[in-house]
Amino acid sequence: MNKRTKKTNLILEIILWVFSLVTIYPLLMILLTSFKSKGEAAYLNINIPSEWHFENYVTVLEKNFLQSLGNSVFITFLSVLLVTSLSSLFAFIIVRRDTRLCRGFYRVITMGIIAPFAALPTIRLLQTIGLYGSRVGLSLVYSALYMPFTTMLFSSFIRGIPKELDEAAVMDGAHGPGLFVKVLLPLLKPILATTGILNFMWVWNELQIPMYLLNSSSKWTLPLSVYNFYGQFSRSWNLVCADVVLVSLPVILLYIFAQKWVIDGMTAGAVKG
Amino acid sequence: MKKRAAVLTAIMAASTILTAVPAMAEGVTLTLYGNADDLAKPYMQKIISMWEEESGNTIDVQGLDTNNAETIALTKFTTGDIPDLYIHFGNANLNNFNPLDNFVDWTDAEWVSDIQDSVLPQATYNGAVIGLPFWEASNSGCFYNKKIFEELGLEQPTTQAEFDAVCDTLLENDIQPIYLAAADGWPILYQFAFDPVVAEHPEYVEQLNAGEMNYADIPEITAMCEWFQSAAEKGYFGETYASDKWDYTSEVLGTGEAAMMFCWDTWFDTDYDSESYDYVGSDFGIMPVFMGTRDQGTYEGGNVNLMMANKNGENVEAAKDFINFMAQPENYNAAFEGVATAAVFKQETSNVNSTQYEENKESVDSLINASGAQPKIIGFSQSEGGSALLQLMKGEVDVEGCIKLMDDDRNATLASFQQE
Amino acid sequence: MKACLFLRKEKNVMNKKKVYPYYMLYVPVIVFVIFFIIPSTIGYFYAFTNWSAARTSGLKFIGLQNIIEVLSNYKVPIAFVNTIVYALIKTICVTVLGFVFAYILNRKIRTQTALRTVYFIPSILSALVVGLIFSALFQTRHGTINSMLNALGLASVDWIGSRWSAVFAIAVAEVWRNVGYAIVITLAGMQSISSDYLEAARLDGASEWQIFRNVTLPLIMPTVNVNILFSLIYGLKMFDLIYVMTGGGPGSATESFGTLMMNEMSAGRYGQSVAINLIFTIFLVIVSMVYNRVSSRWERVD
Repeated sequence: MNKRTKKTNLILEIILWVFSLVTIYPLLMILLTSFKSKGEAAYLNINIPSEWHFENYVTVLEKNFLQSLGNSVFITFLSVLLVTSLSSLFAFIIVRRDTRLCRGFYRVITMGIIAPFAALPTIRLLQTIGLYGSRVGLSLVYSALYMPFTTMLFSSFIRGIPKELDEAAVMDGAHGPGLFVKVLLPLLKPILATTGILNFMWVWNELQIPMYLLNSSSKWTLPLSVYNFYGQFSRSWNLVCADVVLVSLPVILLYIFAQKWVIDGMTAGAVKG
Repeated sequence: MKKRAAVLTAIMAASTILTAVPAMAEGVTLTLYGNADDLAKPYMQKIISMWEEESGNTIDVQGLDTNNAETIALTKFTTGDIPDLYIHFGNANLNNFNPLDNFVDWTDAEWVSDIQDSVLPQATYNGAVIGLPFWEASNSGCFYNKKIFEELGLEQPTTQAEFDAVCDTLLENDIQPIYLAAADGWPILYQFAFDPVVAEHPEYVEQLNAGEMNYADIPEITAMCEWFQSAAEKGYFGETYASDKWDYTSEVLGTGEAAMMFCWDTWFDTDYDSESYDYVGSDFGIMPVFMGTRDQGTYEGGNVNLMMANKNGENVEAAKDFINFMAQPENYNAAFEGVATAAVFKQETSNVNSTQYEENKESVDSLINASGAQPKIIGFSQSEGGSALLQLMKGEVDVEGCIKLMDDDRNATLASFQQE
Repeated sequence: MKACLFLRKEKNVMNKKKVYPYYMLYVPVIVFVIFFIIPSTIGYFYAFTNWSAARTSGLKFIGLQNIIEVLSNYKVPIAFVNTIVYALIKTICVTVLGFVFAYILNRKIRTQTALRTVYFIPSILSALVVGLIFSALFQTRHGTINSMLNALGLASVDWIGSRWSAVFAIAVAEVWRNVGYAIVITLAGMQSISSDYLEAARLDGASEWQIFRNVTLPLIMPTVNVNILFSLIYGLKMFDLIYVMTGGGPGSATESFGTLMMNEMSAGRYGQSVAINLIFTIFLVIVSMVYNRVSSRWERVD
């Protein structure tokens, strides 16, 4: 790196930090509010709490926290596993085979980002196949729901991977699933991490669908706990904020971890043009 | 890759263990749907745990997102997933749940005679008592800051003209007369204006519901709209009512920025934040609401939630047992111990009346009307009506246009109710 | 490229049917069709019935009645304009900001990881929380934004109290919430660009601008396209943030198609709700088809 680039980078870095205040300020409001009393919290601002109410977190944790955490982990991991594996396979064949049928499929699946979730028919369907009220059924619905977007991302990525790599492996006798696992998968690491984290976040934070598709509160996910504190006539913003902090933490940690993976994947995968 | 797969499996396994519910050796688990807000009430939680302890059964309380609770519950009812217990505000919408087909008929239950006469009609559908009104009953009215009134030498108004004069005096003293959280729609609470009209003309409700009459045909509704329009013009609701939200009620009242609001008495006990501001809950008194319809003003009686049992469910006996348990005087008295509410049951003694009510009992008792419009008029919508009134106050529509907006919305819902 | 020429002779090796077999599509297609396409398509049929909260069984086919009724609703034109405004503001701001930040974050900056995380966090938060934050920021009486305006000697604005300022406030919140996604996706695209291309260009003595214009931009275009389409469609479908911040008000000034659907649903008028959804879906399909045509032209030009 030459001197000029270094200087530019430093300036850019400072600019980015200045801009990041727009992000940090509201986040700080949430964090500080989570330590306030109910009265102080009625108003979101970045004033330091006059008294630090750590017990807000205890209150939030008391409400079946561990059980909901377990459900969230189970449902999210299963959904992310399903959606990334199914979408990457789908994108792989569609992009590489590139027949008229494939293009048709691709068009249908992109239309999928438009179609809405329809609660009533989905419940009926799950009842028919005996998955209504189960966490697996919910995960399957999530995977199907987020497949269009994930497939689009994978497709745009796979298009950028030179076909010559496939051809070399084919000469070594690989095809179908073997070719996918041996050649494509290592190269897909960055996009796997990206789609993985995005889907993780969506499934983790989704608030409506579990209420429709589950029928026992012992299977409820973590974010639904926010409704314990979000009433119509009086909202305990301090508890809502503490809940938000606790629910968001896993996603933040995962993102930091996944970022490392994206970069590792990039250097190790070494896409040669 | 293998290592990663192992980690994944371990995580999934761990989460399964975490969520494995210890199997109950005895007793059944009843499912209870309702909105999260209602189910979080302390007396509700208390009665549930009392019954769980006594019977050895469990209640799986599923508090649904308040904004969508009814839609979610109805979707589930439609697909045949009907909970053992369901809690619902007994208004016209309860018809959607086919109460007579789905819920236990309690008409002959012993506890029916224990329910206050003013409340029983709200638990009755087509002549059958279909749920237990286990709820707090509040008195709604106009709440005012007694200290501010005292400082300015203001008396409680007894007529519409006196009320408007009070607002004018407050304005002259740079105090916003009424905090109206119009941005949320429902806090406009225009049903208060309807109650005395409906009480006087019960035939209006029948004619409205039969599609033979419109709001436009009722002169009092025009009068109400005109009052809102002129009140907004004169600044009774301040400058920013269009963006004012219910969330900031405690603050605006507590700092004395505004002197009055339309509300219900129990709110000052359960939700008002008495700790953070200059004025505490007991600084507020109740007086009648003046919204242009009845000259001497009006109060509104309580709206109650009904606890209902699924009569076709597997656990119907346990569900009935729970409701009968709730209706026992010693049990409900334990649950409502110290709760600020009017009594719903005749033998209810442990509740305390709100200070606001105690202070102005005579006025409340003489002017109160049962909540008549919201539960009985099909298609009555707090939020849509509020939104129409807001457009009127902002000058986007005139009185006629405002009433038309309300009528159109109500008629659309009415059409969706008519059985062809 | 030499390897490529060599391979072309051996074309028989690349028997597509064998190398990329259709059976690998079976499971994804089945899951997608069964768990998503079938239920959501069946859902649309209700638009032609008299389905309502009060009528859930013995439904009758009533033709286009719901659609006609819905189209005559005075809120539809308002919602239509607002929906487009939300989507355009969101798409333009999110795409541009996402691209610029991703481009900078992809350089070798020391505090890269911290910066990326900070910019990413808003997209983790649910609409409920973002709505809460921005309602507080834009609050008229004591909101941060009005306090700042006052400090600068400007008058307070009743942000949520009138149509365009409220639409603006909602759009700002939506942009704030979504820039993080765009950054993450664009970054992934940028990192997939082989460093060989960049090094080769550098060795040829290309300036940074030239590299950006001739190497990075064309290669990143497919990813940016996904981003734009995604922002556009979800911008058009937006409802939860509006619901939390204004509930479609004041009056019906900030209503979108999404909130209209919700309103009809919660009023128990299910048939009408699905009818709005159907009309809206047709509109979305047209938008995305037009977009796909335009964007594939862009990609081809480069």
